[in-house]
Amino acid sequence: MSKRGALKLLAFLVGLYFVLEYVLPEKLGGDFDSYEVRSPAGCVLGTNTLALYVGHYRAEQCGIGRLVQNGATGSWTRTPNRPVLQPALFQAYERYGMSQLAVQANGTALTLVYIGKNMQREPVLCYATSGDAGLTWRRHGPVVFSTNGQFLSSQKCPNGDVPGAIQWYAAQYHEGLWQMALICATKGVVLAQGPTLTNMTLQTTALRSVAQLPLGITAFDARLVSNQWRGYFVAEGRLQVQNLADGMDQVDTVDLLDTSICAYRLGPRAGEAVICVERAPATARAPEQAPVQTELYCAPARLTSNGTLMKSVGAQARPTYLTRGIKWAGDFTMIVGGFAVFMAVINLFLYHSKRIAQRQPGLHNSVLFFIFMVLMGIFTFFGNKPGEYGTQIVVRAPTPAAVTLEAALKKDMLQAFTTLTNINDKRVTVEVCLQQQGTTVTGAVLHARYIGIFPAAQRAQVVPELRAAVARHVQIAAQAVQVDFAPAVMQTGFDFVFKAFLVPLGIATFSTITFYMISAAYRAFKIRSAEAVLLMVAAFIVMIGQLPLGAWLTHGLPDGVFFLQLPWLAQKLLMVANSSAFRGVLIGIMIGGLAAGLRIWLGMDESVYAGLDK
Amino acid sequence: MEHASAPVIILFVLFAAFILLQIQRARHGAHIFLRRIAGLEVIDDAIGRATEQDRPIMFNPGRDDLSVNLFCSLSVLGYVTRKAAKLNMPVNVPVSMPLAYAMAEEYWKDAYDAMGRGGMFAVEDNIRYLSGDQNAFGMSCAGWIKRERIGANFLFGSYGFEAMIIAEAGQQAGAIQVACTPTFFQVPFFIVTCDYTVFGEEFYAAGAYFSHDPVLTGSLAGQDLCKLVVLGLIVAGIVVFTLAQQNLLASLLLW
Repeated sequence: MSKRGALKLLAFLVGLYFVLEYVLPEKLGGDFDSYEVRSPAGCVLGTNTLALYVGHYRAEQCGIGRLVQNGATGSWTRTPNRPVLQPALFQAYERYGMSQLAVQANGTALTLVYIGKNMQREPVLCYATSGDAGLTWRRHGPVVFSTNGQFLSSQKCPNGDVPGAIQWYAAQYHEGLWQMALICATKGVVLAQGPTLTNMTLQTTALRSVAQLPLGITAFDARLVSNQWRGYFVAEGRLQVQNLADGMDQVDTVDLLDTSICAYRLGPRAGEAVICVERAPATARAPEQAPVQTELYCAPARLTSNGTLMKSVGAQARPTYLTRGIKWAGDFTMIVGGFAVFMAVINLFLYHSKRIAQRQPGLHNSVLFFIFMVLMGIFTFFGNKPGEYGTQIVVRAPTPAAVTLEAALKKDMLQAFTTLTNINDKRVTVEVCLQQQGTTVTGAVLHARYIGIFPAAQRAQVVPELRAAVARHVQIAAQAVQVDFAPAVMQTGFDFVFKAFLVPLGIATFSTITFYMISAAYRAFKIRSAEAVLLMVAAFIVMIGQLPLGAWLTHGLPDGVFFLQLPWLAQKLLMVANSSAFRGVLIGIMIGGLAAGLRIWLGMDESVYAGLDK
Repeated sequence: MEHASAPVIILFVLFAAFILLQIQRARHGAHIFLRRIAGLEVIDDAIGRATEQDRPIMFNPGRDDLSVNLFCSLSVLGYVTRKAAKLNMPVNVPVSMPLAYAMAEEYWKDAYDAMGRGGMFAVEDNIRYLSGDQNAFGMSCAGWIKRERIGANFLFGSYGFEAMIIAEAGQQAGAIQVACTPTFFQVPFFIVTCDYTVFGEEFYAAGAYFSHDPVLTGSLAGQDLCKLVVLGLIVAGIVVFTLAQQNLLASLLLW
């Protein structure tokens, strides 16, 4: 076989891998939940007890499975054996998966609320409904929240006015209203209620700030008890039940038997909860298996035991060269990509060194290139370490006695930092080294390393509080605690190059587009032909129709000639004329892409193999 | 991921069959008419004018990484480079993606070698990896265009907001500019800054337009059949939906 023929065959086989793996994964054998099972939620519908869960057949590819409990034996069975709902390929808000299910029964209908992961892998709260006990679902898109009565969902803010990313949520249909408690990234617990999930009125003030929440939440749910929200937090090996309002009093705390609970939903019946437990696998994992093993249980709500097993991961597809091949193909692409980056760097090196050697005009740019390349290399290698963002406390605790102190110590020390202004902008890592003699702690050294700027006045403010926090738990004098504050040089350097050079330069470049647009618009709007007149008129209507001025100019027109109102005209131009043209072009692009892909895949396009015959 | 439903699988098989059958027809010598595309016809003139003015030519393959779009734009790079090589002209290629760099270099060298001009121009001076960052790539291209006073600027590929920066720099430098892109949202910016703009499916037709290779021309004819099917489905959908909405279908049947 010739070199070209061999390459064509290889390209065809790699293409076939992707087609079979991505288009028809469950056709290869095995269950759709063979990778992991997560995020259970249960409810009672008539005489049936149902549960839904997210089954993954690969890390970011999943479907929602349905379980039915046998009334006599209490065991759970997956019915049907296929996913009842899958992330929609063309819905941006759930492109990369679903998680955190919550299901509510209302008469014969079921409503499923879930978090979808959008193209940027950001969480978007969505919902779907089913009229046949969860066998088929109709998705309705994002839940829409508003603080001002305007329930608007856009591509940028699909959930409307939600303040920050939704990390956890609880949903309940109560007395004809949907009630929700959201834990948002920067705001804390925020409540919302509304008649439908697209009309959820959000409270403007947070019920509880982030600082008031338990540390290290791994699962959350809440229920309305006497019109008060009661939160169930699974955090740091405990189930903490707290009233979310009025002093946040702790109702109950249970030390968990199993500390790796990663999902908790109350239900299906009162006094029960469905949970997901992560376990370290007993045996070595195959490449197509998840690194941890997950199982779903129906347990008592207080988690005094794990309860009955509902679902463990499904049957694995029989490993074939095809299923393993997807990993090999991915690795191969990464290796080729790595070589290509190396080639690109060599190209930059050759070009700029030649300019310097030949003393060409503008060689100062080339010198600057080398300086920054070396600087960025050093800063990135030493300074770009994961997990360095936000205030972090690391306790070096060699003895079991110190381990028990760790959680409380961390919480108090973090509390010390919350008194600082602009705390969200600070990035500090405090390493606590306890000095011990036997089991007795005799002293402590705190190495605090900060990234960026941390003024001396603020350091002076926080040091006594840190000392006091340590002395409170370790039973030593505050003077025995040494605090050593210093900037983390490499991380600060990395941060500085990004914040002081790259970000402003990027913004400056982006802003130049404004000037370019003006000169381009001037040329475009010069009336030279009939098309230019049409363009000018359409642009004028769209621009002025989007402004309050447009509405004001034509608001006096009688209702009979509503079509002359500028906002109406602008919307029609955008939504009808523009959209239909766009869709026409899109259909053409898709068919063109299909044809080009087919040609390349089947080795018909010879231009792909440029340079091969040399 | 939601997998293909039965109608989608049927359409996919039908479209693939149309394309493959038309390719087969073209291979057996059937004449396939290619509509004149002004934006692609002007490429030869643009190269000629840049040569007369002794100003270099730039071919920008956009910000596509290893994809169908990249192969489509690189096949046009091959054509442009061969034309320029015949006239002893350099073709500058700014690249934004490392994999695209490796491939562009291969197409570029191959074209010069094919015209017997291998080694006439240094690779590192003409094909340059600029940056993966949109801002840096746009500004570097704009600087390159202005410094070298580019005479003909071809923008073939997918672009983001940097399209405006690059194309406006070319306009200010007085270059003849031809843009050809599948990125719908950049089309207005190209229309106001470039002399000729080709977009949508014509981007995928560009390779066939120059080479007249039966595989490519046949696949274009197949695409037209696919579009007819889509058009038929749209019209049928409108008719059925309208009749159903107005209950006209029931009235007609009863009548």
